[in-house]
Amino acid sequence: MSEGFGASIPKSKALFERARQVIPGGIYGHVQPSATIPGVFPYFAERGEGGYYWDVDGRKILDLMCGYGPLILGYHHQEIEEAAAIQRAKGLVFNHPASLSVELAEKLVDRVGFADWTVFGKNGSDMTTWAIQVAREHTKRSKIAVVSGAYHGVDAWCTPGKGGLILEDRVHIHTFEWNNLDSLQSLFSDYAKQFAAVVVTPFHHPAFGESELPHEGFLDDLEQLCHREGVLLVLDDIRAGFRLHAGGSHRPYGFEPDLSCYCKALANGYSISATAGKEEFRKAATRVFLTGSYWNNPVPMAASLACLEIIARESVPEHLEQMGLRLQSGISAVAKAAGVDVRWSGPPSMPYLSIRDDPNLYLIQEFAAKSLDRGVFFHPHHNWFLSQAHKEKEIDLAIEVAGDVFRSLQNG
Amino acid sequence: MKLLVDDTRHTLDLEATIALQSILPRMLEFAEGSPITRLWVPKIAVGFFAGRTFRAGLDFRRAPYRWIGSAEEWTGSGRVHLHLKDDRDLVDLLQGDAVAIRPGYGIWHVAGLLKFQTFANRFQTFLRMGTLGKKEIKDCLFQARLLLDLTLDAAIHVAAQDPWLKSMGSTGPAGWAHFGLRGLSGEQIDRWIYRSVEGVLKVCRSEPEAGAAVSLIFPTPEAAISLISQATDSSSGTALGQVEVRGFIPLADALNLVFDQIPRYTPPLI
Repeated sequence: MSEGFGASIPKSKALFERARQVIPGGIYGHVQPSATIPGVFPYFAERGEGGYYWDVDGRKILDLMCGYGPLILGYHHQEIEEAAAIQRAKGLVFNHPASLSVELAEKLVDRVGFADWTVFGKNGSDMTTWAIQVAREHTKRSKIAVVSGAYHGVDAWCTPGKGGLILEDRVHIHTFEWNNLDSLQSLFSDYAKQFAAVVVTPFHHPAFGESELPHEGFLDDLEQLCHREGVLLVLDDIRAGFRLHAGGSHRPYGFEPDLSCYCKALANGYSISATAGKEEFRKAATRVFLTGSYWNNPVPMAASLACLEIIARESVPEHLEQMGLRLQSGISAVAKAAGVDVRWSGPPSMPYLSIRDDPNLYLIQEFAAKSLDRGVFFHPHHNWFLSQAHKEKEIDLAIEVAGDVFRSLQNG
Repeated sequence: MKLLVDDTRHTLDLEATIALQSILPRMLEFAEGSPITRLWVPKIAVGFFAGRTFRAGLDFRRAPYRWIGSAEEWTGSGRVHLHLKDDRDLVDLLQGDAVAIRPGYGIWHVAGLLKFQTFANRFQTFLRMGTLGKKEIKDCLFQARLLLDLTLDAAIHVAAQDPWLKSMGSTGPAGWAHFGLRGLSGEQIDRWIYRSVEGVLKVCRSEPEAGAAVSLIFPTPEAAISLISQATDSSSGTALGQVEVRGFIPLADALNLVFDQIPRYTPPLI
């Protein structure tokens, strides 16, 4: 290996050596080391508190990824932990759902506004896959339209990986372009009356690329088009749900999906996902089998009830936006002072930073690596996540570190 | 719907293409790669035939040695024809397996033919990272280079013809990927491979004007060999610093998808 590789993460590296003996690839999925900067970013975490976490090498890191989204209130949030602990003391899994499942379904139906029912799962993929089955059951059609480059989970119809796939897995999955309704209309024309659903995220957040907000009227027009065509509009609000608005991301963008899938911010790190739907799809929903060993675990439901309560009570989305704007303007200013031209995309609470004239990401990777060395986790090619635990102090620390790093980049 | 990956004819075609156009040319590089290997080179030209069809030839009669791909260029004295029953036998032979060979024209060059056989065995052994007896040449960087060249070259054919890759859709990121092999004395061997949006690949040995969208540097020859031969998976290799990847990672992923399919068509390289 090159001299000094991984020098700052000896325990992570040692643990990885053990991991690769017993886990294929050592670490898999979106958290594998190659997704960030190998040898610099930690491979394994130890604990978290508020807006920070500690890796296995004992480094304290300001976390602007929040576990890739779930930690909307920060690590170890007292009220959430207490709610979960109360339920945990009563039991983890029963032969029946707990009453909390009804309470949580009522809460979600009330919160998202457009929906009349809710079901629960554990992860985002559980829900997006179930949602397209509901759409197919309702319409008795096969085809699904998704935006090119969008991520909707790890099941065969949508996984970004190719290993293990066969041609048939994607035969009925078609892509259209974000913010381009004509490209969807063209699909509808080519395959008349064959589409069951269109699956979209509230804004486009492709991996390794800038986020794109919806053009004015795009989502509303999409809703109208889907209705005209008898196609269900499925909102994949897994990543953004309850971060942009306490009632779900369809509200700020002014449209109504038929089904909406939630996960990440739903329970501040407890494993639960949900799909909410309109009355007319209830019958189809009852016909699509849905279960899992732990899907009735009431502990995440308790956490979710508390989390949704806090998100609304404490205007968390507004806080995230404020902090996001502070972060963006602060980093833009220190970058400009250092002679670096940066650009932002996506909503302020889930910002994506890129550097102009850096199409292949070399500079942003160097920026992220040096920032991590100084204790701040800026992901080089994924949108960031802010949490309620990020106050002015944390944001200002991030800006200060960014400024130091930009200056060091310019000084070579 | 039937997947073409079950089509054994198609698989054999690709195996033969790689054997003839990716593995055979490496034999020339092996011959020219070091003062010791140069001593092993037979002074003949060997032509490989499937049935009566000329498939490819290696011309060692004089430097620079040549790979010959067409029957029209297959001329001159000092040629030996090796006739295999069919492409299957040809592929097996070039992958190092024992098959029946019917020597044809040039069979009287017995000494040269025996020398070629020894040379080919040494090449196979070298490619598989074995030692070469008393005349062992220990040059990991040379071995890594041969493996990398073989892999990049084979990738071109696999990307173009592998039925599973084609069924998955070839559209993806475009750009140059730079591969750097570092030797223990600080020297570095560089290769570039271009991927088009449609998934067509081409290889280059000098830096392209456009620059590399992604850079993959192997800090030691051993690391390179381990990763290129897929003894170590790319995820682990990256985490352990056996390859340092910077730049547009989706391009590396798209290439890796092609590299992953190569062992379906080549012999195990370690």
